[in-house]
Amino acid sequence: MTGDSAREAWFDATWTKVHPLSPLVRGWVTIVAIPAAFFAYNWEMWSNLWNAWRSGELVDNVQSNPLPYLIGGGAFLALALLIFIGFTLSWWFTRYKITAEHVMVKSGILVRQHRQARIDRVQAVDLRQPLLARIARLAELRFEVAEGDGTAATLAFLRKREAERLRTEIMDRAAGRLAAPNPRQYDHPAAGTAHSASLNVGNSADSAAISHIPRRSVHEPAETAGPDEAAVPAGAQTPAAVPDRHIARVPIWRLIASMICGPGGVVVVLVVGIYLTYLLLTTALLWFSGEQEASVLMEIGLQPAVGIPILIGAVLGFWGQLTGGWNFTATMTQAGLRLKYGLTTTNTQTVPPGRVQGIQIQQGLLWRPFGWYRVIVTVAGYGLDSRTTLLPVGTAGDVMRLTAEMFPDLRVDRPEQIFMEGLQGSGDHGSFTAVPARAALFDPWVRRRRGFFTTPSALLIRDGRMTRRLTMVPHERIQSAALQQGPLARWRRVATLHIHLPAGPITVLAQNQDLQQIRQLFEQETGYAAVARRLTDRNQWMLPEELAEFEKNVAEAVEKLDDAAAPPAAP
Amino acid sequence: MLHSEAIDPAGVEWTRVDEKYITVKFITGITGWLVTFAILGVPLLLSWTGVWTLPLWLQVLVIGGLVLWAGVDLALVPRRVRAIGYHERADDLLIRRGLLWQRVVAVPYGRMQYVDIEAGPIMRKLGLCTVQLKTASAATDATIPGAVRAEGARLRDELAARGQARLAGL
Repeated sequence: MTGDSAREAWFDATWTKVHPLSPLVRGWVTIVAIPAAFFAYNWEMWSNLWNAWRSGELVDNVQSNPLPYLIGGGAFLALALLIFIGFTLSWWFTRYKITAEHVMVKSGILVRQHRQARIDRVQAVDLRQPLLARIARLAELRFEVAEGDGTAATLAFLRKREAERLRTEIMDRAAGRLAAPNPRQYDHPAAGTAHSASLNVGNSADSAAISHIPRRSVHEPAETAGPDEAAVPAGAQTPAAVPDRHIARVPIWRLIASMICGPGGVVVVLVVGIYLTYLLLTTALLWFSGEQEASVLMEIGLQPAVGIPILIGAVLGFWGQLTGGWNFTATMTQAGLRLKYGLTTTNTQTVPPGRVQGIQIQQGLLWRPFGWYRVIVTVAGYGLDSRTTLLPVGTAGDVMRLTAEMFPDLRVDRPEQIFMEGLQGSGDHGSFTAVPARAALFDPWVRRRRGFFTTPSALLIRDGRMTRRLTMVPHERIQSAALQQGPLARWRRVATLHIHLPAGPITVLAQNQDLQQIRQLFEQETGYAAVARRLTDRNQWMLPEELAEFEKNVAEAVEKLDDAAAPPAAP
Repeated sequence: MLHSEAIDPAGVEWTRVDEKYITVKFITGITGWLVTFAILGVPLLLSWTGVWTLPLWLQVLVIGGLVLWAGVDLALVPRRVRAIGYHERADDLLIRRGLLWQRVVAVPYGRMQYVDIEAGPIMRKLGLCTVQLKTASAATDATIPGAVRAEGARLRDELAARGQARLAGL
């Protein structure tokens, strides 16, 4: 065990404890499960005891031979005490601290754990409320960081209001809007005041204004940079309030209808249909030709048990979709897009637009008559989990509003038209390319849907015949690119371009495109990728001379980008 | 000097990896095929000793097919190694590979997170190493196998310096 001295070294007064109820909220299952299991396994004993109590035998029994009852009661009390001590210790040893640069969490009684996340690397902050936390008005904060894998730091649990305040503060600072909100507490009180005026320009890279960088001169003073940036004078304590904008809401009926029309629903309908026909067939056989053949058919045919795993899988899938989309609302706040959803556990997740690496809009075959779409994103740190869904099911209008907020301006004349072409169009008579007819031999079915289109700010790729997909990637977000070609493709003079993004649900592939066009695209995208990092990645804690160097490089990069954007894309 | 393939960017002179890497590929390739033959040889051995009965045509088909495949695979090794190339451009590194299935990847220096150098026992013996570039994306898969160790070290320092130069611009 750790002594007093070790604890002193481990914590000091600056560390804050989490809410005392948190172990209970997190470990309530143990509290409920242990007595429940105990009760269920000794059901007979309990009922005997109850009967004895009612008949009055129990009192006599205890008086004549109290030892087993004392032991039983003592063991129960000891267990309760142990759980209580365990919870208290775990609460006592879990502390967090928020400094100017880091969020730090320490936890663990025997095995100590210290996690810290750099605030300027925070990708997204999620607020989770499981059922019990909702009742107790508590919430869990999760910080997603670009470096490392998975959630970097979790604060569980805080009072909901406190959690919300912290979230706003950290998001503001991650986005660079708030320089140093509480100087007395931090090691670098001057960091904000010294060059916050110039800081604000660069940090617009983290806001929706990302695509505006190449257009406006970077040497422009901060006053003209943008409404929310200009509103923050040096060392300001609070960012200017921008009213929240409602983006989308998913009605429950639409969610359920979309689930039925989705892949899970189709599987369930198929399985149920097969069963019904099977049942009908067997009954019919039974009816017409006596028992013998029917039982034979029963034995060789489908056993009902075969379908059960499928149904369980479908139910689990449905449950995931239901909790992921229940009461889904998307609101644009100053810190980013705020998504709220959940059936038993309420999740509030905030995604800053500047952290979106790529976006994909999908439409399944059966969603087409209703005009519904799903939107998923790649955000570094989210990986492949369910939080990558920006919109579980929405109308074209919802999707437009969402992408307008979360994605840089496409910088084309008629973005809606391009958009609809990407979602529904096919063939190469529009703006998008298509797989040339000479490659129809090995790509006959999806050929006319596969195509790409470049705008000055982003690359759009459409794909999918049954499930239509439109993938959009800002040029600045590309990590690297690869051009691939197999023997058949070489024979038909086509090639495939693979754009590499950080780990996430989106794969960016422009398949089987015309060799000339795709080579041009490869050149263009690698060119963008090479210069883009200078534009977007910017450290909050740069020294003045580094800053000057940065501005120079940005100016160069902007010129390069503008040159690259000047001749319109090949198609 | 490699001749230019259809997907190679225009005006790129590929730097080839060392010829000794062919030896490495031969050794690993032959070992791999020997293991395959050993595993597939068990049923054949059993059938010759009379424990199993395999039809003759199947035996001929399996042995013939495998020998042919192994022969073609090993015969292509030199050309496959000669198809590996890299080229340092002003802002990114290009790496190509593949004979039948070709791939050219471009990794911007500014996107590199770190450069790895590794060498197995055979590679060490021949003074070679594998240079691997990592970005934030797992899909990047940019490796230069079979560079001479000095060249590998030069590449690592050069790439790191270039990445740093791009990053210092931040």
